[in-house]
Amino acid sequence: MTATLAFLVGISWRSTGRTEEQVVSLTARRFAFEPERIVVRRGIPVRLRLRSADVLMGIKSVELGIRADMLPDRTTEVVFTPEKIGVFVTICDVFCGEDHDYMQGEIEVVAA
Amino acid sequence: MQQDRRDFLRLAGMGGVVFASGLAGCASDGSGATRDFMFVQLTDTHWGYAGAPNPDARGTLPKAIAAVNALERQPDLVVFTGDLTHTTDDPAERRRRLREFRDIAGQLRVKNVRFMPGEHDASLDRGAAYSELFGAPYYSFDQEGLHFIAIDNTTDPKGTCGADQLAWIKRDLEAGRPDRPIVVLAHRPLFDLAPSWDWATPDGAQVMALLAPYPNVTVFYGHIHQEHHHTTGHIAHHSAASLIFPLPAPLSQPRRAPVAWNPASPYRGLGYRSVAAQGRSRALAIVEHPLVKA
Repeated sequence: MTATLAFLVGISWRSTGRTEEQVVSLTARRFAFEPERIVVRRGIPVRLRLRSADVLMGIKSVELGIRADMLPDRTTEVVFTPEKIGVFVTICDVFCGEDHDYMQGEIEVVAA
Repeated sequence: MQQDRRDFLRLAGMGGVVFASGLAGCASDGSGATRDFMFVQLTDTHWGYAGAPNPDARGTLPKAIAAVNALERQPDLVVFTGDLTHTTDDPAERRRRLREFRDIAGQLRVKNVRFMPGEHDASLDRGAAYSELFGAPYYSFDQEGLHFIAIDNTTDPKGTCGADQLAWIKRDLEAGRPDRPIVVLAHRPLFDLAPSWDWATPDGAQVMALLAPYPNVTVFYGHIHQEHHHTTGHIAHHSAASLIFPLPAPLSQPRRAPVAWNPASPYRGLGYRSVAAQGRSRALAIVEHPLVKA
């Protein structure tokens, strides 16, 4: 199951001392997140590695408590631990052009 | 405590929904203003937009101008609360759209017209083109016993007002009588209407904290392309319908997307509003005007 999820969404798993961590790379490209949907496991910290392919953008999910800039010239990271199972919307919250308003992604949280 | 206000009064013959709100019962501003005063709010005209949600995008703004010009009682003031134009990456095209918009707005019979930027006008160049053509993105003025404060929450692409503007708002508020009637104009909502749709202002809570000590404040805004009424504490917030396409009710569907154009009911959901300040109290009466009457 873990291998399948990792294949689908590009998650890598790593152990940082005693704690397992899910590492996911996410790219913003006007006007989409790539991949559009990522799948992570509940209760295990998620490290999002964020980058923009073109202009300054942002990622926000109110439900997951995530907010970070996505920069074209370097990778930023945000770490969170999903506690609820479900599908949570992410939006770009830095105005980036004509279709900014419709730029959305999803983070699906599944049972560990 | 926040609560939605839905105590609308439908008044026969007014051509729209009337909402008595805001400054009712407030003290006089001390100017002795008693003359009835009326202003019109137009918002989210998105000049330059092209798409299926409005196949008459180039005709809608002129229709709105004509409708305001046809009002029997001409307003004393017209305010445009942002997204005058639809965004473009091309700086020259952005300026061309802003100039065309300004020329069309210039056809209003009323010449007392105030403008504000929206993120479509100003976020990609931090207000450079807008300021060239329309001046400062935030400012205040007094008219007929009302103190207007136009707040800019769009030239920053993250939608903040910023520390400099917050300091300016504080100074502006402190410069007048605490109980004067204050009308705040903004593009984005200053409260957390729907943060997961980015229908909020990141530092809006700081603006509201500055406004909170003042007893007679009403906020008019745009951005969400629909009429909406909400109260935070004693301050009422009223968004107006767009003049390009409606958006769905906050969080009513998974994604923000324009409401589809209905050929059987064209221009549905588009409109503007008039606001009358009456008598010495400057109590506000709000009338919502559909662009095309059913």
